[in-house]
Amino acid sequence: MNVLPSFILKKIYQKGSLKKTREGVSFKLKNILGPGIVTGINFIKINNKIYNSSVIKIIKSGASTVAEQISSDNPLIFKLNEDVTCVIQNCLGLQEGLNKIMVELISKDVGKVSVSVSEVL
Amino acid sequence: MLINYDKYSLSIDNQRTLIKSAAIHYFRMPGHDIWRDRLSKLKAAGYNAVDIYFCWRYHSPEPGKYDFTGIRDIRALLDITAELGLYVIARPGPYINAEVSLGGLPFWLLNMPNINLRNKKDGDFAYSEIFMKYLREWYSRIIPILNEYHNIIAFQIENEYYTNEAEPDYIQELYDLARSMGIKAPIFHNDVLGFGLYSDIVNIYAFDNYPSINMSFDWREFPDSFGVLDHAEENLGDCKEDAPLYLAELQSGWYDKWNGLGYDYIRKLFGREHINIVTKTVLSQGITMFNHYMGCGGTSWNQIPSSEVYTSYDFAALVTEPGIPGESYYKAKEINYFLNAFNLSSTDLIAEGSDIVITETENTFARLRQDNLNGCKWLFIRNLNKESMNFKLENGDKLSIKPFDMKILPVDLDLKGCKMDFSGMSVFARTEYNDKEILLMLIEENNEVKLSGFDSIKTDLAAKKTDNLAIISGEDLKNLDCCELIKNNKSTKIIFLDRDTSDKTWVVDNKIIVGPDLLTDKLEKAGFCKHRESKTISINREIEVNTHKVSDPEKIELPQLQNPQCFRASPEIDPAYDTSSWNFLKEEKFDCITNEIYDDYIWYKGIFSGHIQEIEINAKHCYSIYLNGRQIFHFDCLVYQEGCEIPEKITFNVDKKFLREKGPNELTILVQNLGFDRGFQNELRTPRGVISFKTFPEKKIEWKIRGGLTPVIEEWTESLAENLEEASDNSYLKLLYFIFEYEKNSNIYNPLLLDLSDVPFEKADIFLNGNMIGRYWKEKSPQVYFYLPDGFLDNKNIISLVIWDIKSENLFEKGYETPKNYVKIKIGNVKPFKLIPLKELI
Repeated sequence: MNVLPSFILKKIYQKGSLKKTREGVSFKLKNILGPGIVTGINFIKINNKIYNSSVIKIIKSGASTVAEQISSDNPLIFKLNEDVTCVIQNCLGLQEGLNKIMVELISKDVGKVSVSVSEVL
Repeated sequence: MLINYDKYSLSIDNQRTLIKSAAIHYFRMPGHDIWRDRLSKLKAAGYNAVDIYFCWRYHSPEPGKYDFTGIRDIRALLDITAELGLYVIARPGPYINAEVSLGGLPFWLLNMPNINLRNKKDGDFAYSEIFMKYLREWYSRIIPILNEYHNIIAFQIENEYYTNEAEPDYIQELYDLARSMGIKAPIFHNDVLGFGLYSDIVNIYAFDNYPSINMSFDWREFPDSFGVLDHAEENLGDCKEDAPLYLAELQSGWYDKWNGLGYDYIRKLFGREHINIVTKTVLSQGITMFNHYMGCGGTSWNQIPSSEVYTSYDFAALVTEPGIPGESYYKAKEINYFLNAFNLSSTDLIAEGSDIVITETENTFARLRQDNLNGCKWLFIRNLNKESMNFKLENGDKLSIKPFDMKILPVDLDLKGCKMDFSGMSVFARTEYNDKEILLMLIEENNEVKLSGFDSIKTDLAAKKTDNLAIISGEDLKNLDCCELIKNNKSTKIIFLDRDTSDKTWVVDNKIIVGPDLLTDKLEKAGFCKHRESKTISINREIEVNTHKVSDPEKIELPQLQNPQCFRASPEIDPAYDTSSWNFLKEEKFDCITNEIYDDYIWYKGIFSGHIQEIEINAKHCYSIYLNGRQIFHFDCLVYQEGCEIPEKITFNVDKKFLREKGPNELTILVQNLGFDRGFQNELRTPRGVISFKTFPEKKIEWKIRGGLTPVIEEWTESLAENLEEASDNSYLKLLYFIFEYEKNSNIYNPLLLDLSDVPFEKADIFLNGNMIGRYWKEKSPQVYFYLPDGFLDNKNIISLVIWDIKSENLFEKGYETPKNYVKIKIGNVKPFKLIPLKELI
């Protein structure tokens, strides 16, 4: 699996974007690396609880996609410098203090990529 | 050589210079003649620089020992670059990646206690004094050689380096080390993340970019793939405000892997379009230093390759592994010749997108740059749609671009005999002499050239002419049509070429040669694959045209492989084989690193008493297990998932029939190590050989270990045949052996290939005069033709194959006494090129 270095992850994750919403929990990622074609989002883990792709929503340029619909045939084009909001529906896993988030996705070019970040609420 | 730089470009001896470089791996091209040939071909394609990784391991077999002789004589290599007038971009690592085993680091480094290779551990920075000690030794050997040459224009420290927190210490120390050892050229590092990493340490910020790396997808379906290049000036241009941005690796192909799709497929996938798009997109960003990776393919012979790749490292490069220019070569030549015609080393962006193009549509791209040296503007315009696109420009000009094409077009270009107001057709090349010039342009349909400011025009073309304006349309042009425009006694002759002709058009010493398929031997010889008329256009006081008829290449007689001999080649499998010279396992560990055995093949032998029911083993990469001289299991563990190596621990039952009821039982394991990881996504320190081994019930076994196969370690020329024949009854590995004679002909370029397209076995290592030049593996690799590198060919040659059919159903038994009846191995070629001294054509 491709594990990105921490200094890059800190910039991909939009600091301060983690919040509770009516739907669950959301946070933002920004593509600072290069054009990416995401062919799957395996799961998002928040504080050791895993949320599978059926409860994850990706909002990009105002359009929302349920993560389980993302595939090789229906990839998510993630352009350079573009933002996405990840929403985990019905997620109650946030806690006061440090929260650990991990997104595991599949990139067309490099395979599995793990994005692990943390934020204090 | 005086090298300065500013934000636009390098200045070499006070001349702004656009660096057009292509990469070679000299260690994958054994032989000085190959170096001369490949470098000549790059020079002929208009490159002015060559990028060279210097591979530490290739030169250092053990600590303190360095070999810079023979095929490792890098002075000879650098002499050729200097003779050809090529600048050198030197990249001595220490880590080079390059899909080589251990990323180019010497295997012996693995034996050093507590070493952190590249000062890195689990992604974190971990300074290692022992690593630095040996690195200093490498630099102290390589840098003094580089310092002997005045054509080194840039020097790279490390490669694709980063740690979790991007600590600068190591890169800073390398920079200081290189400077303290006398490196005068600008220093850079190649940032694989394209993130501005270490830009505050180096002189020039450099990054690499490969828009298309998954060969299962067609890049044409993903127009956003070029996003990093499209925004390079904006995102990375300020990394070094006083230095040009350098694209240290710009994709001009890609490597194939075990289980890959094959280079024929990859070449088709890239076509001519990909290199055109990436290179012109880079130029649209004002980038004035680029390096096409790779310029020439090579051969991953002996222990060069990392475990991921098979023998051919053709890379779908500009020049193929056997040295034949491919489609992308001719496209690169076209771009380089244009850049040689007009120096674009100082330009500024003045407009883009809808400010230039009225009819801008999706998947198109337009930028307009002011040329500070030539006083004109250049329009960079791209169409990534599946249909041709017609564009209308703000100033009213129109043009058409084919699918997946990109052009660089002149606007208000002053020529000697006229002004080119605009051209929808591309400039190919230019030669000039005093007040005269010849401009070669490409015929591109649905496009026009608008010329003005001339006093007179001489042409038979159907140009729309008014008093001072001529418009020439692509539809009206035939190949080699021309016109001449004159202004104030200065003249511009424009010759229009179709694509096939432009491929065969060369510019050497201000002369235009139309006809050859290739140029080689320091551009002193022209190669023709069939009969053709060659034309040379010289521009001196007058323009002179000479023609020369070239006949077909003479019929070539290829060497014949006759009377093969076949021998048993693995006496080690036999019970009671003498292992007195073998070593005991160190620390009771099996792996090659602990035991310091780095051969391709590793043998293990051990004896136990009583019965076993199961064996559990993890080994890399291919292995067979023999019990009392009989094969009881085989496996290949070459599993990668998205670039990451996957371990496989296997458990299997032992058939009781192979066990001796009484007396000791003997286990023999043979493992083939296909190379270490290259250390890009995985750790560098990945063990090979047997990694773990257990029997159930557990037995105390005193194992012995040895590296190498008998025919290899006993040297091919002396201990062949009869000795081996007598040595063993087992039939698991075979040595097949041919002798052939070959006379090199300096008037023909005729690379030879070994053809294994019709053989009855699954797997073999191929040796040419003792050098392993191929790993044939029917199930895992599309490669069935193996290049016989010129540097290894002699008048009398031995081709040997060590055949190891690990699948028992394929055991190479049947007909083994008469291999010639069924082993159809032959020597073939790609196609011969007749070589003619260039001076005979001029």
